[in-house]
Amino acid sequence: MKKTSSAADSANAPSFKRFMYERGPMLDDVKHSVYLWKKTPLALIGTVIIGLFLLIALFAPLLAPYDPIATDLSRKLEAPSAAHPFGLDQFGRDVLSRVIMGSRIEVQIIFIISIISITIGLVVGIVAGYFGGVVDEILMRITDIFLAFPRLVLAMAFAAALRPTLANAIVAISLVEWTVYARLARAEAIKVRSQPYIEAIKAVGASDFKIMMFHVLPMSISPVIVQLTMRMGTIILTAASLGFLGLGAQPPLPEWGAIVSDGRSYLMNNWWITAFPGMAIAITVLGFNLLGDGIRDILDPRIRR
Amino acid sequence: MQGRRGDLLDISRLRVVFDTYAGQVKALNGVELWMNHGERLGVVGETGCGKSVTALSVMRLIEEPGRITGGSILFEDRDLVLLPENVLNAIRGKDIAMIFQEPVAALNPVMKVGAQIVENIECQRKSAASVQAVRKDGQASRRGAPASGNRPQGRVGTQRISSIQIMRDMLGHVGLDWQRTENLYPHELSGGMAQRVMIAMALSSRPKLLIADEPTSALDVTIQAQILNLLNSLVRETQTAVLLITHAMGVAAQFCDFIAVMYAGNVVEYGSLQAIFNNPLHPYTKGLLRAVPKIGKTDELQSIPGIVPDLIAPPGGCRFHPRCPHRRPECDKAQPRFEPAGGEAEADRHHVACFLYQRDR
Amino acid sequence: MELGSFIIKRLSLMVLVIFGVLIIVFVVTRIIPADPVGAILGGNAPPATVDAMRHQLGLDKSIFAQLLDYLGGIFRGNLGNSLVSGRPVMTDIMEFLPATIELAISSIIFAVVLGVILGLLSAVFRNRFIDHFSRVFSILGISLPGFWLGLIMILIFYYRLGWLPNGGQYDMFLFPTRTTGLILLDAVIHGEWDIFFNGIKHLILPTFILGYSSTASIARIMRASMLDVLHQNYIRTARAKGLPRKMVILRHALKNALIPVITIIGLEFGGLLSGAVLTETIFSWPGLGRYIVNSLLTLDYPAISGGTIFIALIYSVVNLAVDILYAAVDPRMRS
Repeated sequence: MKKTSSAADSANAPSFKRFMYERGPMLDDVKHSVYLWKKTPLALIGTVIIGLFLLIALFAPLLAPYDPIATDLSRKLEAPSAAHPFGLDQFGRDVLSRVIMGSRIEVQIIFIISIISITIGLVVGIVAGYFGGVVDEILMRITDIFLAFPRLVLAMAFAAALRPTLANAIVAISLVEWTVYARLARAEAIKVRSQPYIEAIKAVGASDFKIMMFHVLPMSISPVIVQLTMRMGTIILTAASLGFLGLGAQPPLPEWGAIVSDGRSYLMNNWWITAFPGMAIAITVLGFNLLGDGIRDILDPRIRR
Repeated sequence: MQGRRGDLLDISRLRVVFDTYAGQVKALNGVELWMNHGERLGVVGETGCGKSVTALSVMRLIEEPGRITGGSILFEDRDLVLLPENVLNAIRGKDIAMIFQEPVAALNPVMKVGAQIVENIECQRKSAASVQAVRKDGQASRRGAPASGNRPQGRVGTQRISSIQIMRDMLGHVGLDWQRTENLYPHELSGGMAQRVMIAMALSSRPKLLIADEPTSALDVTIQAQILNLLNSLVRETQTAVLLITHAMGVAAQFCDFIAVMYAGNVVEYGSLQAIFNNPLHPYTKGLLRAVPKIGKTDELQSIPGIVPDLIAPPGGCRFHPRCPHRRPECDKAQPRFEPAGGEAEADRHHVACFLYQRDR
Repeated sequence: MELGSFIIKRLSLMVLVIFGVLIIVFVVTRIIPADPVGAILGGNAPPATVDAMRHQLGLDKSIFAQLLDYLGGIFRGNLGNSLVSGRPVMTDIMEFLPATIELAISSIIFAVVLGVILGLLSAVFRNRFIDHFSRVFSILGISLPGFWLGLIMILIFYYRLGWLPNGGQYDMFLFPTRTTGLILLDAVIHGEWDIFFNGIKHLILPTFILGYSSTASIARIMRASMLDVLHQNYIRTARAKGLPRKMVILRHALKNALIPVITIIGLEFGGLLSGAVLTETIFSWPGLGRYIVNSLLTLDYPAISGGTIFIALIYSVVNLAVDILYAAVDPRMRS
């Protein structure tokens, strides 16, 4: 059959220009969101905190006054002073430097977890929602099974089974997080697949894969990203909890949760080892939560105008 | 100070504003209307003209960020704007009752409809009892508690049963089978059924005034007619006055004795049904009547040019002047007074707010 | 649909999911770990001992045979024997379960009561002091790491102030009579009031730490839900009926506002089970959470699998109960 050039043909061969043009209204939406974001104090504060966190992580080696791993047993457990604002730990290491380097580890953790869990979640969700039927049922039952465990417990079990290291902890948390995104992606896929235009492009030969990639996926990404931002706080807390329990980062990595655990035996007299990294966790999570709240308010259709 | 114009309800110079992020919405700009016992007044106008706000103001149901900033609402001999909340509560539901536009949404979704009606009945009884108690003992008794302690046990029981009986009677009056209806939840009712339930609930206390805020706008046309007929017969029985808010001139014409035409927060014209329809004075009223399509005619539909004004920054002077074909220089300088239009019968109560008809003092 | 058929449908779903849970735990504890025998015996054991151990643990059979053994065992209530204590895992679990139940119940009650009240007051007195306090309290609740906050509280209330104990369910020199295993309940049953009050003192900090984040979530949802409900038409109708403000809030608004809250109680309970792991570790609470952590750290696989299955089971049952409760409360859900 002779192929004729047609609109449907172009729809099948997406060009960037056409892609952006079709998404004009979406871009306006984004601009309006940015405008509202600037007007929401909570979101701004959260963004500032996160910005600081990322900056510190980025420039950590330059900012840390001392080597976080270098031990000096002659000066162990020194109280906070001008030279060491966060004091020294049981091995004579400068707590401030450890906390600063720890921010790098946290950033790596959340970055990798995000990528893995979003990928798995999107794949499972889009496939389940798009094909429906038996595929959907099976995938959803699998998701339910993962959801039948309290999250931390499952992550702990995976982390232990895979041997406790930072990398395995990251994998473990990802294996637990994806379910959230799968559900969202599935809902979007269901919405998109019942649109009339999908039928139309199917009729001219668009493959399932192409439809899922170029039509369902763009629609699913934004709610997933939004949810990810809102869950970031929980992810950090989970990672820190695993570190605290000894199921994540191993010594001498200065992961914040692990440092808090270190300080536990010295709590009575040398509280700074536990207090400061914990505060770092709290402030970072607070930043993400404030931003998440702000985002939720911005997206609330009753407040948008 | 002018004499009372209506012995049931007299709203005078009512102003209501809403404070919003975008600015202050001056929703009501000095509304004037009145009615006597047993009469039916229809308030008509476009969406956003303030008719619902007026209706809600009567019972002081305007919530933050809205508030009444001026004027008076005389109900019989009391100014509702000034009454303390607990006294007003005794009037709400009892002397003045209200039904709303979307009946299913106006009912509590987790309570059976029968129970909701009974709640209303009991509430009116309690407030009647406590009012009695105040008069009897000379001191306020606990809100809701029976007047004196010597009420025999059995009495309370029989009181509850007869509330249920009243509810069932009312459901019957509105054309519903109580056996099937009383245990249903609101989402299980159709729009028409739900509105009948609301009417049953509102009229169960035999109020002096029923405010109906667009009661049929959310219903199918055939159901609309049924509900209006129902209302008609019921209020005639109980001699309840009706304040009917609607955007449909036809509904108002069918049901009401008097009409108040509202535009952008003001009553621009007021009068008997005949006066308004046969002799409309205000240019807006004329425009409205002209816009109603007539059966048989196939000319272009006549609309009023322009759009409804922004109530945050409304036009100065008469709010209609930008769209008015008879605009004069004085129209944007001051608000026209709401005055009787001369040359008609007193009984027609024809009033208009327009410089075309101002009598120079 | 009828409430009854709703329950049946959800129950059968739960059974299916539990089966999947069993499979996953099997995979996690048998297939993924490299060498459980090496973990037990150490690297230098002679091959004969290693083989004997393999045989004893049933690891020399095929995977499917192991799976069948495992499933069969579970249906008979046999979760294997702990590698650490040597006792049946089931016995271990039963010993530690009551302490976790006690902590979980007290935390959920604390969280629901405080959360609902704070959320309600926050919505009704919007933008006044209680609202700001509650919102700050809530956002801290979901941001502060529980394990850290617990340690800080121990630092303040035990080391510095000496008001509260730093761990355990009761003081060491007390010997409560055990019937149910729930210390407070047993103390009441046997009239051992000194033990009762001692137990309460020990319960305060763990309850607060475990319940804090749930309180925060519940308060936030309650506030949002209440604000939403207060704008609904039927609230206006209730006011138009002349009902006093308090009755409108308590009778009409509250019941509707609680509906979304009920849904997250199930979620929160799961968080509670997770959080119990951390809280019990910090406060040396002799419960299931601490048992699981110890098993994980010592790689006691039968204990890990048994404990995880048990927790998943509890979680599923609670979720089912919450779903049923939700359907019972909101008639719209049944159709």
